[in-house]
Amino acid sequence: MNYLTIALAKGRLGNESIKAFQKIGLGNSIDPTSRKLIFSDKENNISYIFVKPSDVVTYVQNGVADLGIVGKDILLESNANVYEILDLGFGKCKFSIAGIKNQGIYRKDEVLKVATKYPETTKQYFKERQQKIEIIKLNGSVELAPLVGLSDVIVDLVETGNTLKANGLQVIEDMFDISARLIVNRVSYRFKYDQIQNIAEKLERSLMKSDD
Amino acid sequence: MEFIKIEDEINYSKKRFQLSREIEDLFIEKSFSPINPTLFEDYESFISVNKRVKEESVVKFIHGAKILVLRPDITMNIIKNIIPRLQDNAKLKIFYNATIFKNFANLNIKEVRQMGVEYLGESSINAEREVIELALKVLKKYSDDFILEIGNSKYLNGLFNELKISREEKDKLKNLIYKKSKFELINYLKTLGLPEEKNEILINIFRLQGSINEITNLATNYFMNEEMMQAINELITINDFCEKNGLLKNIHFDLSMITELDYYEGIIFKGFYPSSNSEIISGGRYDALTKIFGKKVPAIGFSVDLDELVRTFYVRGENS
Repeated sequence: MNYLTIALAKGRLGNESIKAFQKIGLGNSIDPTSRKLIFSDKENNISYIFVKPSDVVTYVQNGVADLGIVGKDILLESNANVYEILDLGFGKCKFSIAGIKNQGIYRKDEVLKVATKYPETTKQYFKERQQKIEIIKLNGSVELAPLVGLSDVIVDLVETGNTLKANGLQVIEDMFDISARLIVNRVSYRFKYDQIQNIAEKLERSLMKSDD
Repeated sequence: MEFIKIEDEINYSKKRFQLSREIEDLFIEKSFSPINPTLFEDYESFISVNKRVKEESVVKFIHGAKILVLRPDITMNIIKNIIPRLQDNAKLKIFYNATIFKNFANLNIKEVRQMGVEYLGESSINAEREVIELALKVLKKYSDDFILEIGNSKYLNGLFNELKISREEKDKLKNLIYKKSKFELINYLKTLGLPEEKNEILINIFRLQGSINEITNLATNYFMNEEMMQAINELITINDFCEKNGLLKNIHFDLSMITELDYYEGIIFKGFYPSSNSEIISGGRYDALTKIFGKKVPAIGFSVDLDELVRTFYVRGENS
């Protein structure tokens, strides 16, 4: 049997991922309280590596990891050439456009200023809708931008909407539904097809069970 | 690849020279003749044919009152020069070993080595046989551990032709199949409301892979038209000659295969080594492309990513 390497995100998404693996009898070798970054499961020939969420795609795309679990937001932003074989259903939130109440988005002859941590996704979305925009790339506290006049609207991940509400903003338009995805390296998919398919099917069945 | 020590650079270059010569020998052995593609192309005519190519990705320069590009692709370059002059029913087997030029952001020009063969004028499955056998030979020369994945775009195209969907909807379906994104595909199909017997195929498209028996057994349960039937029959023929060559363990058939380039119609294939992170060989039948240049001529071929092959088999410090 081939050795499989699975890249997981450190933090909340990683903890959810561990739970998903434990439900199908894998991942027991992982100790979430430890500071170790690699855990190997000799019995099932799997090793798990823990990386920064946005780096999961890089590890899988370059073939260092065969599989990975990552949020759709990161996939959209990186436009990576990997297979997305399963929607794991956790880590749910939305990509949304938000602003001050009654803020218009689509204007014929005016450029819309958009503040965001996700320039690629934003660019693509507005291009498809033929709205000219100017992107203001921020690294955090995006909600501040419309309040201080830095931008007209923001594009950000919205989970509960509480941060928006606390800052007097509201969702103007939902763009995409986000959740955790099981991604696979293209070459690994070919050479380790049976093993990968086996894990994906088990995960899918356990998801359906928890849906009932 | 960049090297600090000159010895490493020379060894690497030696390895590349050796591999490229060995592969040329394999091509010549099968009666493919070398051809030198032109270095420059007219910008206007290039862009008019390659609508999907991004304007900023080609290397352009001004010569007199004309804009020229450094060849961004070889198959297109050869086809454009040969097809208009090719006599009816003539058969031509050619190969190339040349550099293409790509432009990245900030005027960063990259040279990419490409080798490959084109078999023009042969419409029968014999062309597939020769070209696939040659691809297998190249792959097998460097390791027994490889996979040639073979699909047939006629299967999905045959299905798409039955569906009343727009160009955009078809592209979206293709993109989701390319990403092997089953759940997104299922959700998208819900919005299209296709007839059940056709929906069923798309939902199960990722299961239509593996050995030829697995594929035929499954596919016979589903809707099938003439073109789709033909697609499967062609795969059966390929399976038979691969079996005779004793290379069946290296073949993986996959009817969900989608290529990055649109011009393939018919058999498509990609060759992989487990130690490399991208395909070393990719090719297929592309009769439709020749039509753009005046007349439709049967054409099939493949290219070898020489740089990736060298990276995969170059060992630092090896004295070859």
